[in-house]
Amino acid sequence: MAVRQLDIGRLYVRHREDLLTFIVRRTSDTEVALDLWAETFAQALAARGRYRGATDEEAGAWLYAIARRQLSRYYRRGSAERRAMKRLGIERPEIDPDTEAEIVRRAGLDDLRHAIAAGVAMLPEDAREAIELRIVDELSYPDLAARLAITEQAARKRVSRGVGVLSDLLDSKTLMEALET
Amino acid sequence: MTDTSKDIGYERLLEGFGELLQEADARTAERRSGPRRAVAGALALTMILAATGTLMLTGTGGSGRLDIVAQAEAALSPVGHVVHLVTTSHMEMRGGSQAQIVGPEAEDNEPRVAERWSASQPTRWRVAATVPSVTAQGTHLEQVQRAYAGGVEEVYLQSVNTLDITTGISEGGTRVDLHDGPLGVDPADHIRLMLEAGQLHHAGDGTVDGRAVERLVGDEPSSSFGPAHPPWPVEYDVDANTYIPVRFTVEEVGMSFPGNAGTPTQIVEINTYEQLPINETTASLLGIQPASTPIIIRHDAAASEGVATIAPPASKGRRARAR
Repeated sequence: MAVRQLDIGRLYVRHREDLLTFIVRRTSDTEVALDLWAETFAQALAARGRYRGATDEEAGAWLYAIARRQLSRYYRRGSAERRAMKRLGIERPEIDPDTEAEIVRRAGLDDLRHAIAAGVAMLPEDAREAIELRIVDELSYPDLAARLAITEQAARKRVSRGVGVLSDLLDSKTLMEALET
Repeated sequence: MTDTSKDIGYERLLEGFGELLQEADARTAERRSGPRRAVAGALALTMILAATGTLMLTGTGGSGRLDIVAQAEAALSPVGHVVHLVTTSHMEMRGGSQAQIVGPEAEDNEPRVAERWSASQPTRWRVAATVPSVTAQGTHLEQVQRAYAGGVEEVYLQSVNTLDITTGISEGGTRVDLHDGPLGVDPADHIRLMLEAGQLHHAGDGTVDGRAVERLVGDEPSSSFGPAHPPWPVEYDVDANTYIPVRFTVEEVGMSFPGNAGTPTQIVEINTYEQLPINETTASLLGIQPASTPIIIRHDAAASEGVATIAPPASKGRRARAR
């Protein structure tokens, strides 16, 4: 099958909502998710010359591969990469509280938070506290840092790495099945 | 139910960022013709330099000692074996006010040790590493293993005893490569391919920790995955007698770490490099070696949503309920 020039506009329209939900559910943090979401599309645009697929399905799989790499990096480092956005000269959009609430609703994040509360029980002892304070109790990072007597950056890393361990369990259906079997 | 104002804000978000992407797309399209000419010119220059470099190296007296590139190519030719490698890597800033990285990326200052076993035709490998993991009780070291063979990737986390198995990975895809760092599946093979492509040339000799080395320098182009970047200057130091890799240095030009001046530079020291004959014992080293029977989490690479299914091996759900 012939290799097709990647149509970034088409890719964006097809995946923008699902990808945002995908990332929100794996970070439980809309601000971080928006950074990763925007960077994923920016990287797709920056790297499209090396895209070798031919179908919409392949383009989608390629996009999600980039997203997973961003997520993996975030879990490891506690910060979202913004290199491609910076290089392309684009900014991640700011959102108001209503829009954030809508993102949370569409991602089913409230339900997921309950599932995470159960999922945290699957973590080792020492990984729980940061996850519970941030995701279940919804403490801000400054509050979380104060509670744990650590820097805000260290707090972000603790949460991101804890979520990283849970990352494959963050689909509530899967998680609940795992807990019920 | 949701009210209209929230919907409008959400739609504005999606539409607004889409417009930014389209504008960036248009800007890059305008710039595309220029860089293409530059790349074509650079490529031609590289070919000339490569040809000149080969002549200079091979045409001076016929002693063979100066034919470093040809000797290295021959010495690094792939054969059927398992490559066992132990590396220590870290990053530093070059060309700035200080080498030490500060801020969110500061942990990259710390040397990280990894051990890997790999074989080619077909590609199979396993990497075992100890990485820092920060928890509520402080930092602890996490034992991680990652392996690939036959379209299946496995990741094992010892602390939670989970084994993630992803099937359906395309053999030509980037996940098959060990794309963390410049080593590739077999660093000797990586150097050989770069030599064959004229991407490396001999730049004299030197020492690394008292060991005599030949210096091979060149430019590493963008990988087939991730954002494009300018060619990265690399220096691959190989043993002066055996040509096995000793140290890799890669300057990641175009990359930046917030709050740091200069170019992030990756330095990989190769503590052990050995080629083991393939047999039952060495082939088993290419697969995950869990500390105990792990919880298995299965994924399908082809499914864009990538929803996992969990199948604890012994007593289903026992671990989940135990907490």
